[in-house]
Amino acid sequence: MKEGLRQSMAWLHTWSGLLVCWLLLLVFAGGSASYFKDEISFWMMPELHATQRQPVPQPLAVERAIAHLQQQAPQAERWFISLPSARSVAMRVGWIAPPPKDGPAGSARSRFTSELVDVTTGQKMAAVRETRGGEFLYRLHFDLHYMPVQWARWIVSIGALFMLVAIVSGVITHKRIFKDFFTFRANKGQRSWLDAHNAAAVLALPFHLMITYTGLVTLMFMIMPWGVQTAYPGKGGESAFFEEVFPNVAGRGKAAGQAAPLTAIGPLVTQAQQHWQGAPLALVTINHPGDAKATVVLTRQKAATLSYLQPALVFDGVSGVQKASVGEQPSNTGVTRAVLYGLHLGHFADPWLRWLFFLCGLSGYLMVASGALLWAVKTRQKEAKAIAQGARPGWGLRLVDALNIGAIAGLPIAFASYFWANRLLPLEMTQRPQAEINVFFIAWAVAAVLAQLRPGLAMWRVQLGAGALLFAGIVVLNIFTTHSHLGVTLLLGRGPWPVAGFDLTMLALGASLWLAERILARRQRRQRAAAAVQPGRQGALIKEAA
Amino acid sequence: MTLSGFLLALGLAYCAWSALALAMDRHYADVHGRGAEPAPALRQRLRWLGALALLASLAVAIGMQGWSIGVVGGIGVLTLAGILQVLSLSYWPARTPWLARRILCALPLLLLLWWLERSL
Repeated sequence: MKEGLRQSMAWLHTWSGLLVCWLLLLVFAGGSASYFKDEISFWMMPELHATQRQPVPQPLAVERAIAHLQQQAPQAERWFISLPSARSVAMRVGWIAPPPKDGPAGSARSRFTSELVDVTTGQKMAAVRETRGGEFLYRLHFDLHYMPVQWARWIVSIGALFMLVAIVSGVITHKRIFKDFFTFRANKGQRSWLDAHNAAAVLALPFHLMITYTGLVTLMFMIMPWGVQTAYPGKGGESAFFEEVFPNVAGRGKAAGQAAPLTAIGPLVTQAQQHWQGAPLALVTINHPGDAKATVVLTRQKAATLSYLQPALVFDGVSGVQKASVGEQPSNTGVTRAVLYGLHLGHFADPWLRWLFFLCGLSGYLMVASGALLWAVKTRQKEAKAIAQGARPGWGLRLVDALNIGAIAGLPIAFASYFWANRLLPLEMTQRPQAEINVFFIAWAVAAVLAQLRPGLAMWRVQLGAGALLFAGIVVLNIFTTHSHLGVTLLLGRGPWPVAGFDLTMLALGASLWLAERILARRQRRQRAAAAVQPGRQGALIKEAA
Repeated sequence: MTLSGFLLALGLAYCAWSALALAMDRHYADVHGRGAEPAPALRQRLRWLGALALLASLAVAIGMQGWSIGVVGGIGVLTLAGILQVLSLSYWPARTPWLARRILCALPLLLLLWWLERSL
C-alpha cells in the first residue's frame, strides 16, 4: 500500500479482471443464453413447431409416461418425468440405468438417458431430431465441457471470485461514478474504451453485482462445505443434509432388493394437485421403481416468487400413502438462500423481465470485452515509442490481442456454428447431440488459432464479419431447412412466437457484429490514408486494434 | 409486465435520467453548446423532477409485479433506460431534450392504457 488505496485498487482491478476475462466472456455468453434455455431447445427441434397439441390432464399424461418407462427401463434406479409447462411444450422422461454388474459404476449422470414422449400417445417422439439444445449452453455456463464436472465448477467458481474482486475494486477505482454516470465520448481512442467500460459496468451494476455474488451462492456447498460437514458429521453427512433440505432429493433411500408392483401414480398426481389448490406439477420422480422401498416425489410447478425452491410431496411407491411433504414451510435461512439462488436463475421472470435479464447479461459481456480491450490499448500506448521505431509489440500484448479476438469475436462464431450444425447435420446421424457440440468447439478453436497466428485489425474484421454472416445467415438457412422460418412465423403471423423471437434475435446479433465490423473498416481506411500522407511514419499504425 | 406498463415505466425512467443528466454542467453544455450552464432554479427543478420520475418508474414496476419481483424488474428497467439515455446523449445530444419532452407527452396516454388494462 505504498501508493495509496486507489492506485493499489486500480492494480487489483486490472489483474483480477485480465486473468479471467476470457473465461468470463464464455460464462456471460452461456449464462445470457440460458435465460432462454427452453426457447433455444424448442427452436432446435423444428419438428415440434408445426403441431398444435391438445393439452392432456396431468394425471393422464403421467400415467402414459409411466407405461412408457415400464417398457423402456423397468430395471432403472430412478425415473424422471418433466411435464409440459408454459415455456416447454414437450414431456421429457428420463431414467438412470442400474450400474453394470461388472466394471465401475460411474456417476449417475453418465448412466442417465432421456427422451421426449408424446403426451397424447405415450410413445417416444421418434421424428424429433436428437439435440442437447439450450441445455448444452446452460451446462457450458458452469460445467464447461470435455472435463470432469467438479473441475469445471472449481474453475468457474474461481473465475467468479475474481470477478467479484474486480467489481468491488472497480467501483473503488472509478472515482467519478456519479460525475461520469451519463458519459460516453465516441471516437476518442482510449477515452472511448474507458467510457464504454464504465457505462456497461455502472448502468447494469445492480445486475453484475447480483449475478456474480448469487453465482457463487449456487455453488456454495462446493466452495464452502465446512458448515455442512461440521453439522452433519460422519459418512454421508452431506447427502443426509441435502435430503433434509432439498425437496427434489427427498426419498432417495436404499432399495430393498425385493420386487413389489408400483402403485398407480395418476391418483397421487390428482391428490397433489388438490393439495396445492389446483397448481400443476413440474416434475415426477420415482426412486427404485418396482422395488418394495419405492418412493414417488411430486414437485409443484414454479409459482411467481423469487425463491426457486418449490414444495414437494413424497409418497410410498407401493402403498401410495403420503409419507412426507418437503419445503412447505422452509426456514428463513433456507428461503434467503433460495431467493439468492432464484435471482440468479431468473425462473420467476415473465418474458419482459427475461429480456431485461438477457440484455443485462449482454452488457456484462460488453463490460468484460471493453475491459480486456482497454488493457491492450493502454499497453500499446506504453509501447508506442518502441513500436514506432520498428520494434515488435511485446509477447504479452500480442497474446492478449490474440486472446481478445479469439474470445470476443470468436465466441459469437462458436454459438452461431452450433445453431448451424443443428440444422445441417444429418438427422439419422449417431451421437448427433455430441456432434453439434463438437461443431461449437471446432469453430471456436479455428477462430482462436487464426487469431493467434495473425492478431490485428484485419483479423478483427474477418472474425466479426464471419460472426455477423453466420448469425444473420441462420434466418436464411431456416427457409431451406424448416417450415417455421420468419416468412411463416412472422409474415403470415402463424407463430410459434418463441421461434420468431429467436430468429429476430439472431438478426439483431448479426447486425450488431456487422456494425462493429463497419466501424473497424472505416478506421482502417483512415489509418491507411494517414499512413499514405506521411510515408515512412508507422505511428498511425500503432493505434491498430485500439 | 404488460406492454403498456413496461413502456410507461421505461418512459418515466428515460425522462428521469434525462432530467438528472441535464442538471449536470457537462451534459447541459453537450446540449446547449460549450460553456452553457443551467440556471440554479432550473437545476433544482430538474433534480426534483428526475428523482420523482425515478420513484414513479419503480412504483409502476412494483404495481405490476409486487414488492419482490417488481423491485427486480424496476431496476432492470432503470438499467435499460440508462443505456438508451447514454446513447442518445452521446450521438444525438441536441435531440435529447426534444425526445424526452415527446415521451413526457405520451406518458399520460400510456398511464391511461395501463390503468384500463389493470381495471379490466
